[in-house]
Amino acid sequence: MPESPATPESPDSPGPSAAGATLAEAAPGDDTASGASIELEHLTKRYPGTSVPAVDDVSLEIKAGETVVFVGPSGGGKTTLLKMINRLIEPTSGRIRIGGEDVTDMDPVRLRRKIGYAIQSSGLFPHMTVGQNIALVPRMVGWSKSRIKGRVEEMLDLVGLDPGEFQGRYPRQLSGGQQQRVGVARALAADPPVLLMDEPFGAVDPITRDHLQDELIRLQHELHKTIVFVTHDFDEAIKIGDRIVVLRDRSQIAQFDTPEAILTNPADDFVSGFVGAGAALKRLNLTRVRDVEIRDWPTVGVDDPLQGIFEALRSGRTNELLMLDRRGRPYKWLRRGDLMRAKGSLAAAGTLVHDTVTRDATLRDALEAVLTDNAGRVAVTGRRGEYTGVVDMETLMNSVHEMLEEDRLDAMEHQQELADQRAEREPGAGGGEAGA
Amino acid sequence: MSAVNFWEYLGNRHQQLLADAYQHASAVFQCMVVATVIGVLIGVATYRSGWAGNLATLTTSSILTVPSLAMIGLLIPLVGLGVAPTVIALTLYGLLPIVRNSIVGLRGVDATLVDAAKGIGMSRWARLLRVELPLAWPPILTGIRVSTQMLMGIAAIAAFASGPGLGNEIFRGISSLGSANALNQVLAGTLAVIVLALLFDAAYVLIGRLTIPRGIRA
Repeated sequence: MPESPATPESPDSPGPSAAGATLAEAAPGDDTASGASIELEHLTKRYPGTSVPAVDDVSLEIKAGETVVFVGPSGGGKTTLLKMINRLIEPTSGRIRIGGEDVTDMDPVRLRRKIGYAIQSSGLFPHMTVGQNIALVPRMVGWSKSRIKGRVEEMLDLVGLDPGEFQGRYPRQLSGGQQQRVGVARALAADPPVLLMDEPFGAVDPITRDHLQDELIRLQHELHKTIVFVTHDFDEAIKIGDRIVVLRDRSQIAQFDTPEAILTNPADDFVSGFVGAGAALKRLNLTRVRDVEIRDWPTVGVDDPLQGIFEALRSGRTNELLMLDRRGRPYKWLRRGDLMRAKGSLAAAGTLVHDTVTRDATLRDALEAVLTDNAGRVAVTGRRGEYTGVVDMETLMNSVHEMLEEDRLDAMEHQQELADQRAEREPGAGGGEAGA
Repeated sequence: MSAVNFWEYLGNRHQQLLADAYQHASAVFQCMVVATVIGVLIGVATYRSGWAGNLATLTTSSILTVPSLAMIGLLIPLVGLGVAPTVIALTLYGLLPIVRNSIVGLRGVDATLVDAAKGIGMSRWARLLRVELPLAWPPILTGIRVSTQMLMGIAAIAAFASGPGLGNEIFRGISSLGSANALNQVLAGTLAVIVLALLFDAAYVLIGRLTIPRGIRA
């Protein structure tokens, strides 16, 4: 059973208003502020001289500690909606509540110091060093010098950059991926409960982007911020989001649900068009190897006596053994007959293990490894690379089938619930819909 | 006139020349400080609005089209002779390159950086002082440099209104053309202006190295 990413792992979140820090609490002195809820109520943005509003009556509730991704076609108003949360764009009407506190009329400068903001191509100031960039918000909110210094180092560590090496560098001396990391570090420096990210990984190459996404997921596991993330890349949305908001024109919400629900049960043609082909394949990205059944495989150690290895090969249920090195890591696949062909020399026998997956890898990574392996299986390793089990094609196929079936049932249940609710609200029309 | 004569002339008159050069440099320097402050302020006040910025550039560039002799001549009835018309004229002439480069520089700051500055909670003033002006500083400094070069030449005209500086040397020479030292006087004054201009330029290179952050230095 895949763990549902829809429920954030913060044990202290009974309800959006009670959970996490309110804006006022995120003051210096707190160790770390976890997320605060965000509520948008009937937000509308109308630019003077245009008849159609850019954002039209949008209401949205984001739970504390949750990662919500706004996804939609370019020019659909995702960024506009995001910028209304920290009031870089002032709403024409509607209310914004963060951590239960109405911030619609708060001083925007004070508001923004409590909301992290990371944008595409990092937005680092080129005339300041990495350290100065990160220290900006803590300095503005009046932290002491020593506290800022410690914080800068801590943030660089957090995003995986060596403080000693990077602190004094200028942004142009960094690669795109490194700049983006510093951008995230700057956004998080004053420990805001809410983090807004506007296509932060849009301008880096695919491999780096993948890394940065993994890092963000790891960070979020540690920090439990409320993250609102904008992207036009649906795959990125699935990977990062606890829940996804699919937006169409004028920021109209086409669907707001978990990635699983959107993949298996898109609300309408617009959403399914956006999900694109290969929903089953994308589903593989949502499940980790640790969530599926990992098989045991007969193993031997490199230092085991030859006789024992022969015995194991002859009597084992499979005709193949996994040989582990002295530190328990997968080393070689040994087939029956390999030893004979190598004339009894262990060093020459068998095929080296060239690909393993960790328990945190996605099923998609595992499938990739299984497909490229000539025998259709891949060894799973633990944190220090030690052997923990094996995943093969059969396991993968079974779990995918189970998963899809479960999603389908969930989705049907969900729809039934919606239909029931509708029926309750409009008793007259209810009967016809429930029958349909 | 022979070269030997010119060197002799310099030897005899070097004290007067140095005094004039000092006054020349001092007038230009002080007017540059005033022009820089006013010019950057005009730039800051107008760069965010299309028409105001254009108006500022247009006004300062039309000042520049007034011949300097005419400008000083027009100022004499208003403020009298001496230092006052010199300072006013030099400051006015110095404005254009600074105003124009301030506006161009401030408008040229990457919009995403301004957005980022806003987004992380910098106030209007903090944005201007810590992000926009530092990033616009290299073009502004170039404007200051161009202005200074220009003022070096224009300041020589100040002698016309009995102002200070090397112009006195040149004017004395011109008014006594045909006399023994006339050409030497003109030549010495002109060369001194050029040397001063080169010294100032070197100073600006140094200022640039010291004030432009390493992260945006070309």
